[in-house]
Amino acid sequence: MILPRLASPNLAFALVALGVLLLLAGSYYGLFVSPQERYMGDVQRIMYVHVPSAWNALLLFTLAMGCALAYLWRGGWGWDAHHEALLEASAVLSFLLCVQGSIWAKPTWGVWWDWDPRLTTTAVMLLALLGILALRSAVDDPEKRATWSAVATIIAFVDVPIVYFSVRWWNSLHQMQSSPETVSAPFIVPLRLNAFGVLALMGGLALLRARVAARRTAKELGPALPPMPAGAALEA
Amino acid sequence: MAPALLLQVPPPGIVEGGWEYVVAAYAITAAGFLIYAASVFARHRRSEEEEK
Repeated sequence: MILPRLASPNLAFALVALGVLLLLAGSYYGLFVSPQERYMGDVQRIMYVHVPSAWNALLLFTLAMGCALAYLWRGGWGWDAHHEALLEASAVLSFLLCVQGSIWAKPTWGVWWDWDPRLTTTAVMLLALLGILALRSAVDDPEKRATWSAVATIIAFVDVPIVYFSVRWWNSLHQMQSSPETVSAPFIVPLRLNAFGVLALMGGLALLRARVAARRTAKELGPALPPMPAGAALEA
Repeated sequence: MAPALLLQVPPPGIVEGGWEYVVAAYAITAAGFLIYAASVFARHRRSEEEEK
């Protein structure tokens, strides 16, 4: 098998470095420069890591679903490798999202966890991602692994819009989505720095992870068959 | 309630303090990113060595 065309590792390392710089700047601004929020005080600073994790977890899951669709529609091991990498990155962010939310919930809601629609649907998303990754590691045949996990991703993706709209559709302890019109400028700067930081960091790591997945698949499929000599097909 | 004591009680609905929660959230996030990045770098390096 010939390795699919993947992004150069230099691009991935550059994205990781950019992500680290943006996250350092955003976290410094969020912790030490941005003012206290009127009602939540300093605890609101958790927003600068929690919201970027949420946005990027949903975005990477959406991209993974796009890769799954592309694999089923057009084939190609590159789509499968990126599918696996994006699923893993989204699972890491979903896990961090649940932990950060739990830490924020304790001082504001008085509990570490509540079976609220937003929290429950996010937990379902994390379990779905872990389930698909477990499915991928349990299946040895690369073609079956790619096809089955692509179908599972498309089915599990139904949860993504439910996570996003859960705070509008049901009575939820979790606050509604904010917009630049409803958030003061000093709060927007660290939020955006960290959002792009998480995107660059996890994007870079996903590109590297896709190379690992592609190499493993290449090894499983073995070397490409030599070109068939002329006439061999007729004889066979 | 004495007026001096009333001044010390924060208005209802306002969270006071809580830096320990902020530090915990940032520390766990940083640790999560570091561990995941180290894992990806290690797997990438191993796959490159296996290919050579």
